[in-house]
Amino acid sequence: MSMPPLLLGAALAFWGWRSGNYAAAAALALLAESPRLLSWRLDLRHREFSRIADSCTVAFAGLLVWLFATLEAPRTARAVLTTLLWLPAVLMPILLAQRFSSTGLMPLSALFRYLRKLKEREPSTPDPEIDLTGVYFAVCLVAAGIPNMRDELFYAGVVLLVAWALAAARPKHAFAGAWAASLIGAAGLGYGAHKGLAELQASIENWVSGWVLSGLAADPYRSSTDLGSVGRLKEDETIVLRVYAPEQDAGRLRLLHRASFTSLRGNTWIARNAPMAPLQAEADGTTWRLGAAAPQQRARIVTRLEDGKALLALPAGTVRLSGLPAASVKRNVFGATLADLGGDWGPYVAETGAAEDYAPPSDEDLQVPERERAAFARLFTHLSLKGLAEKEILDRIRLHFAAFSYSTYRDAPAPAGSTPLADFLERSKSGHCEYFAAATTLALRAAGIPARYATGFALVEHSELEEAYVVRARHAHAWTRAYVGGRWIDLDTTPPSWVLEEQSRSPAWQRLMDFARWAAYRWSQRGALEGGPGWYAALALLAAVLAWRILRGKRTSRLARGAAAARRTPGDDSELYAVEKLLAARFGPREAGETLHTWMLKTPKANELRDALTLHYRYRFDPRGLSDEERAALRAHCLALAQSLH
Amino acid sequence: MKRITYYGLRAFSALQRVLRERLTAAGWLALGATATAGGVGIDTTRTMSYQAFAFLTALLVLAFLAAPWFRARVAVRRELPRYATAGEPFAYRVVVENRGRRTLAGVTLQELLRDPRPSYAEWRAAREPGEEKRNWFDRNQGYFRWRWLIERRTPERPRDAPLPALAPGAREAVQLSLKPRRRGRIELAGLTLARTEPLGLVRGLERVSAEGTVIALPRRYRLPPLALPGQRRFQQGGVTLATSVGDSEEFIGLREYRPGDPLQKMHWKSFARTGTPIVKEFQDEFFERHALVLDTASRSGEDAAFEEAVAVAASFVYAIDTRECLLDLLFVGGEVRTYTAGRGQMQVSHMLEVLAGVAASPPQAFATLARAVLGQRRSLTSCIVVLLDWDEERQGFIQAMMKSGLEVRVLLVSEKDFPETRNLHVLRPGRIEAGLAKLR
Repeated sequence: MSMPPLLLGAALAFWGWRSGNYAAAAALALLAESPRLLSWRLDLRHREFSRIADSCTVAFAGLLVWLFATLEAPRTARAVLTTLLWLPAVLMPILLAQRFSSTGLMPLSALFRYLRKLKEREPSTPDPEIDLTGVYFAVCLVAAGIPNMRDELFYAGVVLLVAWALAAARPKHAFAGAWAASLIGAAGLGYGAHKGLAELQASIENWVSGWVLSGLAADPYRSSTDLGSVGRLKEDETIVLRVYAPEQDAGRLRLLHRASFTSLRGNTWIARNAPMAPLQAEADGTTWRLGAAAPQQRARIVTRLEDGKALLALPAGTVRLSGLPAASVKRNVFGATLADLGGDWGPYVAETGAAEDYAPPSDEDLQVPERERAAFARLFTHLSLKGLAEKEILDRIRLHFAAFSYSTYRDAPAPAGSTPLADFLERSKSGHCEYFAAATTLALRAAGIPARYATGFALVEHSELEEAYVVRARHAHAWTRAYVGGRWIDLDTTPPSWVLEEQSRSPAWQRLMDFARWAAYRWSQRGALEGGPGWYAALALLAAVLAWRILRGKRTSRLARGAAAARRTPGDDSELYAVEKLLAARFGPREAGETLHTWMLKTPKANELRDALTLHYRYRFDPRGLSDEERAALRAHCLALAQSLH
Repeated sequence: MKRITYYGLRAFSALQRVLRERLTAAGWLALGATATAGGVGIDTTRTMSYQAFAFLTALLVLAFLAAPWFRARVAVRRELPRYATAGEPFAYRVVVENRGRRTLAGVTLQELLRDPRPSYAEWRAAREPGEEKRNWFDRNQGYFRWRWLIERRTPERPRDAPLPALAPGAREAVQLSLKPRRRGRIELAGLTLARTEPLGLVRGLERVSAEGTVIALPRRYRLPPLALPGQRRFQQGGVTLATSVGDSEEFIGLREYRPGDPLQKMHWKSFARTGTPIVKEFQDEFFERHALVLDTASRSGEDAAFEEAVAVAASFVYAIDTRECLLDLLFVGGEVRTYTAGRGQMQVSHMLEVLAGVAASPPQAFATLARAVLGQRRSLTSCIVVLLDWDEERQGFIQAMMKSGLEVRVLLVSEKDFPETRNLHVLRPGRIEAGLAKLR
């Protein structure tokens, strides 16, 4: 299949326009069309083709790996797509090798190692020569579709380029009208099809999204608890937060709040009437105001992002966020803050002040769910909380729960007729933080103190390697936020032993894994890789060396190609040829097919020629050749003959 | 379970054939580009490649819809040779006459072969040569066995031959060629006329049925000039053996009837004159009779060594001058079969045709062959034996033959190594010609 002239250049220009790499596209287009402009060709053997193809494979793999390491999340998809986008550049050496070779085609085994091995074993394996220009053209078109500029011009461009290519391949017997009609019909059909595909995907996504679970990304609208679940809770060692704060701040930063909820529905806490509203950044774009009070203390935190977003873990009373380069920040009235940054890790500085800015208590904050009311009424009576002051109520509840124990293991579900919370309160008196938080919240509500269920992380572990406090996924914690004395305070009734217990269950190789995590984190924070001019120069030098090694001595000129045909034969410097020319001028040329012997003996000089002829034939054909005297004799004879002929 | 694999392979072969027949080079490229664009553009919100996918699919769909609009009414006649040789291409003419009302332009011609897909039993029973080298999965699934069976039956065909433009009623001859991959019968079912639809991606096909058969004779190698040894032996039956019709001309004289003489030899005139039965006497002939014994008892089916053994036998059949001697070909094909060539018996080409159809037999068959040959050794001058293996049974057979004073020449076609002696020549598959050149 021959490509019409300039089609490859046009395809590469299209690619450059869509991807924004104008300079690269111009260079590639020039390279692609150069075989048409330059007439020299290289004599490339199978080995050179294989080497060039292997180099391209290595470049492709290297590009993929480098992109995978450098790009931000979502990593795999972006690395693969970017590598595919640059495929026209990666494959250019193969295309050039094929088009500059003297045959104009490339053997298939140069591209596939498997075929090469097969040929070594069985030389009769068919190894066709193929023309890759068509494939390259298709690659350019597909690569041009990767940048996500959503306009109609891509489709128009593809239709035009494909029409151009097909016009060159149009069968001669077909009417131009039929061809044009088919093409236009296909363009229209394709247009409808692609619109349909986009809508199909949207509807499938809608249908599936109900099934998608959120992981640690956390939902500010609901928190499903593990209340009532049987068996041991999973523990995840992954580090989700790094808090850079001095030791004296550890107490203040002990509970990092992410979201609060008001209503318990079954086993799920829900935040009602709390939509997420966007915040406006300050002038520098990285500072966000959360409350009115003046900031007094600061703490630098780096949080792990899920899909570029995270619910920020903030200490109580955070009034301002600085150093947060987010595209958008949203907040609800309970204090849940969602930031959209992009990337894997999001840094921010949480500045806390005296007063925070949470919504005042509402009826929701005093509601005890129907099925728990009985149990909590009993607790109310048992603790004799009626008529006591707020602080007294808090102390009694705290004391009551201090006698409970912490465990993450539940051996049996709640007995029939009772709820997990009631079972926790009255029978087992042991559970994990969600039980304590839920029970405390409802107990406070039963006593008339507005309370909310708060979730977040607990800051308990300091890492010397990182020189920071590290918060792991298993440090996720739940506690109560109670409205006492006109402000919201945090109340954590989970027995403090939970920290030690969690730690004792960490695996033995944790230190090793932590080292790996630290290394990965440092690598991710290194900043963009910049190759200075030195790097590029070194790369260019290596590429030049490789090209030189492959191509040295391969250049064939047209003259050389012709001259190679005329091989040198032994004895063709014999002087008798000169004598032959003189004889031809005198007596007429030798006929085609007539030997020297027959012809020369016809001339009048036959006698003198006899000796010279014998010597000449021996010089030409005798494998032993002539001795030096005989060679001199031949020369002398011929000289004498030539003189006699003048 | 294997049946499912079998039907899957059948469907896959059918799909391959359809695509190869229908798609042009541009069509293949379009198909590949469609698949790539589909893969890259699978998330329509992330890239725009899905649009390219939609357009290319629309192109292919339209092309496939437009292709059947090709209609042609033609009469074809083939001029096929009777014989061809395996591994060598042969050319033949096809005359096409346009019986339709429209001019046929841009049409290409291609041979249509009979369905080469093997039956289920055949596929299960076959053993591809070199199958032990494949991994367990390949051996179990049998895809490569399937491919080998199909390849054996299909000759190599070059690309479609273009047909010059035919006006209605006009007639044109086109030169086509085929290269048989293997000896045997090649059965041609018809011809396919193809014309590309306007976009140039898909071909429309018109099949014309025209049966034809060519017999591919086995490969032959060049033999050095051999002096076949031995004395002439008495052949009972005289020249009558050597002629298929009529009497012998070497009439010597008359003699008395001996019990057992055939009645055809009775000389009735003398009988009438003398009253006692008199028979005509013919010259008893002494001539050479050589045997070519082909060992077909193979453990691994029709592998490369077997095919080379058949080729070596064919080379001898071709090279030995049967005007002066008789050549007996013996092999086992179910039972022991003997074919005699020379002096008017069987033509060399017919004997090669017999060799074209030789199939492998089970390892036990060698015993029957040995018995038959040993039974005939009295009337043989010399024996050329082509063996596939050198085990005790065969060694014993050769020793027995040599003990009866016969000149025996043994050619062993095998991959394995064996020591060479004066009579035993080892030939390696793939280097047969070089091995044969060393024969004296």
